[in-house]
Order: sequence, then structure tokens, then C-alpha cells
Amino acid sequence: MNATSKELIRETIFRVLEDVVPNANTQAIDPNISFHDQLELDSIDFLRLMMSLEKELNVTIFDFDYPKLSTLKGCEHYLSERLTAGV
Amino acid sequence: MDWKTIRKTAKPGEPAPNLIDYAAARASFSWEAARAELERLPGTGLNIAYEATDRHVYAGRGEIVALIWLGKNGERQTFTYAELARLSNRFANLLERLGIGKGDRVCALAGRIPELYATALGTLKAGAVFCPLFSAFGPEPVRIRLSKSQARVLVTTKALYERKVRHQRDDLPDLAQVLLTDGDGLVEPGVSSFHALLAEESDHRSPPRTLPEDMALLHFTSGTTGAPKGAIHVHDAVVAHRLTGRLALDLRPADIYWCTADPGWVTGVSYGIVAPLVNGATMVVDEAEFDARRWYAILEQERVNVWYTAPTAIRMLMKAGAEAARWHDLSALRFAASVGEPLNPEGVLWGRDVLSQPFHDTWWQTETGAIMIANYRSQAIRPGSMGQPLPGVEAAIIRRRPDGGIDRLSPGEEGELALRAGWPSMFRGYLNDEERYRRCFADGWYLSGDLATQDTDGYFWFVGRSDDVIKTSGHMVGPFEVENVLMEHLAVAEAGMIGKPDAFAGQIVKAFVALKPGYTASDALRKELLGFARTRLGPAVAPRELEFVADLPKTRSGKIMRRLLRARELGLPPGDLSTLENDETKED
Repeated sequence: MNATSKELIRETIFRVLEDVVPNANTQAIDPNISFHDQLELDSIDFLRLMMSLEKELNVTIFDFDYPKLSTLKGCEHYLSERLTAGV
Repeated sequence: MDWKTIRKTAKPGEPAPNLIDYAAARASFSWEAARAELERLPGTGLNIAYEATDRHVYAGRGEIVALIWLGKNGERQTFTYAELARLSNRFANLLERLGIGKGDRVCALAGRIPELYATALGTLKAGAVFCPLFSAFGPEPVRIRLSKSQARVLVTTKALYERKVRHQRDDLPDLAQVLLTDGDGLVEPGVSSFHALLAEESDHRSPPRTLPEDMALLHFTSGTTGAPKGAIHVHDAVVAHRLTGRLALDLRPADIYWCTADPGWVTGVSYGIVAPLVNGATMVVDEAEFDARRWYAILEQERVNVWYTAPTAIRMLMKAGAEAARWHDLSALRFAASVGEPLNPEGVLWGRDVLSQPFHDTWWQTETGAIMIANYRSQAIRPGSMGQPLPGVEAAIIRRRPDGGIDRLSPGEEGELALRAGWPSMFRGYLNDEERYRRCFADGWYLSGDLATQDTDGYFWFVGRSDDVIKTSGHMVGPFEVENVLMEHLAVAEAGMIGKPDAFAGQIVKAFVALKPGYTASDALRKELLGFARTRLGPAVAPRELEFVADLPKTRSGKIMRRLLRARELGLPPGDLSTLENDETKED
């Protein structure tokens, strides 16, 4: 995975987050704290975030993997792996 | 599609249902007999928290686990009935020392943390009134509810206090004390540490001195117009909590029971605190948000017998797939029920096929205080139906007459669902709004605002709301509260909200906005308005979609015709337009 792809993933996460949580200050997000605790995402918001990321990045995120994507760091890591694996 | 009735067969080794013969139970039922199942206080006294905790301790059941608390970071804590009794005694003693007494309101704004349960029960023991606030409310709904309830004490966390209350403290003159569950020592004037103060109190306390008709619980709910209403419930409601827990949820002592509802709403109090404890069950409380894998693990590891959840969660479990459930041993599950909005037949059957337990839908409202209509363990389920009324509850489909009376309708006819007034958990008023309360009744019947039909076998079927209230993730949202906030934005001339169907939440809040002259619709402005609303209202209430329109359809008297917005959104016929003032709602 090259730097551009990592940038693309982060940019996509921020764009989707801003759509789901329009009052989110994505630049101030702590990558290790859950979106729920920082941005007050509820379970419907989180579901929308997951489904939008799947659509935007054309990847499959298994429902049971959702907890792995609860932080920015986890999100980036998971999506990088999935995109590298080409799924 | 015509969904077939589900007939159930008893599994070997399972106890018989608490309600075996529905017709016989209805015929022989009396509320006095139901009341006699409770311990009661000396004289004519009655107290919900005494029935929920102390009664078990005095009967030698104090060492049974009352609460299994699962923290979001993997913690597991248990509290016995005796421990819960002592903790709630301490909180009641603390309230007394703070000068809080009969009828004073104590609010809680917190997630599902152990302190919340001590707060609720201790408040009731002190004779004060417990008023829960959902932690996903934004600052505006929190301010309105704290203000309208005239709360004297608020129990919350540091983060929630900082985000949602502190900056508006000047607008809340009645709020004398804020107790922070994670605060150390005196934080600032009027703000103290919950645990530091509780540590100074005694475990002991003489029995409460409340009477059955004393105010106990205040639950805010939303209507089409005006600010949210505080529905008043009294200690006598515990008679219905106990009965419905036993008959509708089939609860029995020492059952492991999990109600997934948050205590910020009525279900999380009536069935997430009171009913399981009064029935001597062990209740599971999970602090974390929905997570399919975690939920199956809880059902399996805690050996949950009775599960009460909601359609939004069931639909999310369905999305995660049936295979996931099969990795888990769910054999302890004896009964599964659902509440919050009608459960679609697919959800009922999914429970049967995947969990080996069909979901039993139940119907009730904030105002009814307890389950009124249910599908029972001993009865066949008609998927998609609300079920049949509890013993002691008389339900009917009615039509309001112009003279203020009502006409009862025949089976198959669509009308408003009504309940004959007088059951113990019926709300006793809207706080400081007698007129609004009075309008809920006609000819001795409570008019629910829900449209429904009844079939020839007595099963009720939900049709829709008779007003514009939105139900999102099972929670009522009043359009007025949302519209008011959007109208505070400089760009907004008019705003109207509807519930837009959503595959998971049932409905989401969708806003239609007309801009003031000089403002132009754009994606940036759409996001700005959604963010503006979310910052003030919080995720539980804020609109998730927003569409610009040139003008909103209004009646000649100036009321927004939300049903027309809804019809246009869904591509349905507009219905009666005779009162429409304008017809210029073309999209920008």
C-alpha cells in the first residue's frame, strides 16, 4: 500500500464522517479514541458510516468486523488491509 | 404476503408459561388481586424501589444477583439485591441531606452505568421523582427537560456535564446540585462528586413513606406541537410492572433477563429496572453500543433466559446474517420479545429460525407506563400483530366524534387505539399541563394517538400514527422541537420535519427547509444546517437528511402540512387538500 492510497483512505473516511456527522471536526479526531466517544455516533450513525465506506471504497466490511473500525486508527488499518488484499 | 400464524410447542424441561390460559386469566382478573402480590409498606404505603430491592432482602433473597453490569471495556461487575438495597439507601440518605424530599425531581443524564441504578432506586426511596434523560440528547433537549421538570438534582458524568449542561446552568435556577459519577471531591460550587458524597452516608434507612398515588417517575415524551411533555407516573405503577413482567415477559425469580433499552427512555426504566427487579430476576446491563458479535456473546455467556429488545436492533442482527448466531449456544433463551415500534413479520420469523425463539411483539407507550398489548408465550403468534390486551386491560378501536365523545368500531375497521382508563401505571398527568392531559381522554377512555385495527379473534394490528410524531430507532421525536432549533439559524425561513422510512431505524428525521431571501441552497449550506441541528439536538433527535424547498405547504391558519411533505417524499397521493393555503413546494 503506497502513501497515496493511505491518503485516499483517510480522505474518504473524513468525507464520509462529515456526511454522517455534519458537526464533526475531523481534523481534531484522536485516532485512538472511538468515534462514539468523540463524536457521539449512535449505532445508526455507525452503520451509515460503515455502509458508506463500503460504497465509496468498493470494499466489503463484514458486520462482525465493525468493532475493529470503531477508531480512526482501526478504520485506516482495516481498510488498508482490505484494499491491499483487493476485496 | 399473508404471514402464517406461529404455533409453538413447549421445549422439554422448560417451565410452563406464567400465563397458561389467556381467556381464563382475563375473566378472573382483578387489579386488587394483582396488588396483593406485592409486599406493601406498613399502612397503605407503596414504594417502587422497596418492592424492587428491600422486599427481596427481607424475604431472604438478598444474596441473589440483581444486576450484572458489563462495561464497554470488558469489565463485569455484579450487585446482589442486598447490595442494591444498600446503595439505594445511601443515595436516598444523601438526597435527604441535600434537602431533597417528596415530589422533588432528580434527573439522570448518563449512559448505562451502575450509578444510574442506585440513583433511580434511591430517588424513589427518598420519595422524590426520578426523571431520566437520554445521554444522546444534545444540549437543547437536555435544557428543555431539566427546565420543565424543575430538576433539583442532576446525576451525570464529567464529559456530559461539560458538553451539555454547564454552559446553560444560569438558565436552570432550580438545579441546586449536580453530582458527577466520575468527579473527585468538590469540583465547583453546585457540582460535587457522587461517590465522595455517597461514601459519607449510611447503608441503613427506614422504609419509605410514600403512598400509591405519590408521583414517582417523570418521563418526557413528544407530541406534534409544543415542547416535550413530562408524563407523570405514580408508585402504584409497580403493580402493572410486576404483572406485565410476569405475564407478558414470562419473568420468574432468578431468571437471567436482558432488556437492551437505555434507561433514558421509559422502556429502560419500566423494563430495564423496575419489572425485572420486582419479579426477583437477575438483569443484565450492557454499557456498550450495539455490536452483533458482542450481543451474541452476552446471550451465550450470561445464559440469558428472557430477552427484551427492539426492531432496530433485530434488523441490524438480521443484516449481520444468520450464520453468526449459529456459532453461539443460545439454548438458555426461553422467551424473546420486542418493543419500540411494530416488528415486521420477517423479524418475528427470523427469531424463530435463527434464535429458535420467535420475537413476541408488545405494544405500549410512555403514557401507559407498562405493556398493554402483547403476544404471549402460551399463545400463537400472528406475525406483524401487536397481540392481545393484558388481563386487566380493555382495548378498543374507536373514532372520535365532533361532540367530544367516541364511537367503538367493529373488527376490521381502522380507527384510533384506545384503552379504558384506570390501570395502575396509567400516567396521572403531564407536568404543569392539565389541559393537554385532559385532551387525551374521552368518555373514560385513553386515546393513544396510534391508528390500528382489531381482527375478529381479538388481535390488534398497528397501522400508523394519527399525528406527525416521528419514531426513530423506537424513540419518539416531536417535529416541533427539531423545527424550532433549525429556525434559529439565520438562513432558515421555515422548516418542516417528517419521518422518512429507513431500513434499520424504522424512520429517520428528514428536514425540509425554505431559505430566507439572500441565501442560496448548496451542499455546503445543507451540511452546515445539519451540523447546526446536531450540535444542539444530539444524535437522538437531529435530522439526518435535509432538503431545500421553495416553500412549505401550509394550512390557511399557517400550520405546516407535514403529511403532505410525507406524501410527496413517499410518492403517495396527497389526500385532502381543501385546507392547503399554498401549493408552491417545488424543490430548489
